[in-house]
Amino acid sequence: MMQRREFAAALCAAVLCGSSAFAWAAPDPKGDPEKWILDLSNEMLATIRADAALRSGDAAAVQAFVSRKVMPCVDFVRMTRMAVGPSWRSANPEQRAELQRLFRELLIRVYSGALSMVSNQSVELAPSRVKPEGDDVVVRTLMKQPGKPEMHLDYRVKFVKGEWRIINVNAEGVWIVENYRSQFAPIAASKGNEGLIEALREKIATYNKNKK
Amino acid sequence: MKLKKYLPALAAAAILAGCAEVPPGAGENPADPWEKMNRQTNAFNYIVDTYTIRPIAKAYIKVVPQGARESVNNVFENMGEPKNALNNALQGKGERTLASVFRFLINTSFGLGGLFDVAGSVGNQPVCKEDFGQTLRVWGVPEGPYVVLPFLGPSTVTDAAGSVVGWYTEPFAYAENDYVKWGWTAADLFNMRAQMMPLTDSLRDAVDPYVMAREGYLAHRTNVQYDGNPPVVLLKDEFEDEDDEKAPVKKESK
Repeated sequence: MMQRREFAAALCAAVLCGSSAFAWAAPDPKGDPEKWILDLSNEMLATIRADAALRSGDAAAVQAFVSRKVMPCVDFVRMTRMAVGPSWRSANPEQRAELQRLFRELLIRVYSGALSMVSNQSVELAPSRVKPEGDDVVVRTLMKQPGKPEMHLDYRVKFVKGEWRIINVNAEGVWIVENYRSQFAPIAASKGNEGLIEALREKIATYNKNKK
Repeated sequence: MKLKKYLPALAAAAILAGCAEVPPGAGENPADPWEKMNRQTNAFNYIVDTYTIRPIAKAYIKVVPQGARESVNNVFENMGEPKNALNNALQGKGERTLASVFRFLINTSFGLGGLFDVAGSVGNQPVCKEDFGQTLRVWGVPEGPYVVLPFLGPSTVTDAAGSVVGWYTEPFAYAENDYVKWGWTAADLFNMRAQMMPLTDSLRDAVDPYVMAREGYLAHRTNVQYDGNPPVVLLKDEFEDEDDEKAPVKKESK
């Protein structure tokens, strides 16, 4: 009796270990991260192409697009904290939420102008030298448009809680998170998290005023 | 002589720019030891650009249709091909040298003097840009400090030296007629300015435009140095440890 129970426990343990080992070995129920990025990019382009309000930079349309299409594909907490730098550690939950909100608003304002440039582009995988492996990889793509030089767009994707999420984007050699970090971190270092929040609010306010 | 007329305006711009805000810790970044001076030059450039160069480039974009502007850009790109070929050769990049020569010949002839990028659209041969700054880097000259040049903007000491040499590889530098020579040079610069408009407009919305331009420029130069395939250096997420504590609470998702 005793023996059988032990055997059952061992079997359970083996199954558990086996399944977790399996999960570790193949961390992509969504499939290949390269395929995911490729499909996602072309789907995004198709969505933008089909939506005139979005292309014209209409604020409500852009917000809806970002909430529905972009946010589910990115790990925005991670992007924000990497952009903020060391002072993130001392930020309280309200400050963290506010930093995320402001970073999102800032990115929307800086990049919504690019929406108007979407026309007949398509995205392909770059002729990469190595196939990305692991749960934190870089997927390299080329955005092509007839008659225009191709554009390198790389995505750093991480396997987070059972899904691939974009955590950084590189356009023509420039990583977005690093670029913002170099602006944010000195402000946060000298004026603290509140100082950074204040600076971001001010920037967004002037932006809104200028666009009116 | 003519310069005298503009001196007061330039002086005014310089004085206005003198108010440029320099944050504490400026110059501590090893890539940018001259940050204090650079920020002043940057502020000067911003004012000159805002009131003279940018409005002209904006008007050009507004008046001239996109197709025509692309053709103008193609002509200047084509004039840059001898420079690309020379620098590819100096860097020992055989295939890219041939590509540049091929593009120049095809676009100058079939592309009607470079108006159309036939080599790119039909021949499927993208441009292989190289300049003297890159050649110097390949030869082992260090990048040198980041420097903001008056009127011209972001550069490094090595790139600035390269640009001076580069000017002499432009065909129009050898024009006999001064009007032609400087007219072409000015047109080239305005074309470049117009091309950069989306980029410079997004800089205006940056939290610290100076830093954004600097980081962007240096990253871009590293990128072209490796012909678009720089070694990947991933930013470390120093807060990974927070994920485990935060996961069950999910306080942050908003």
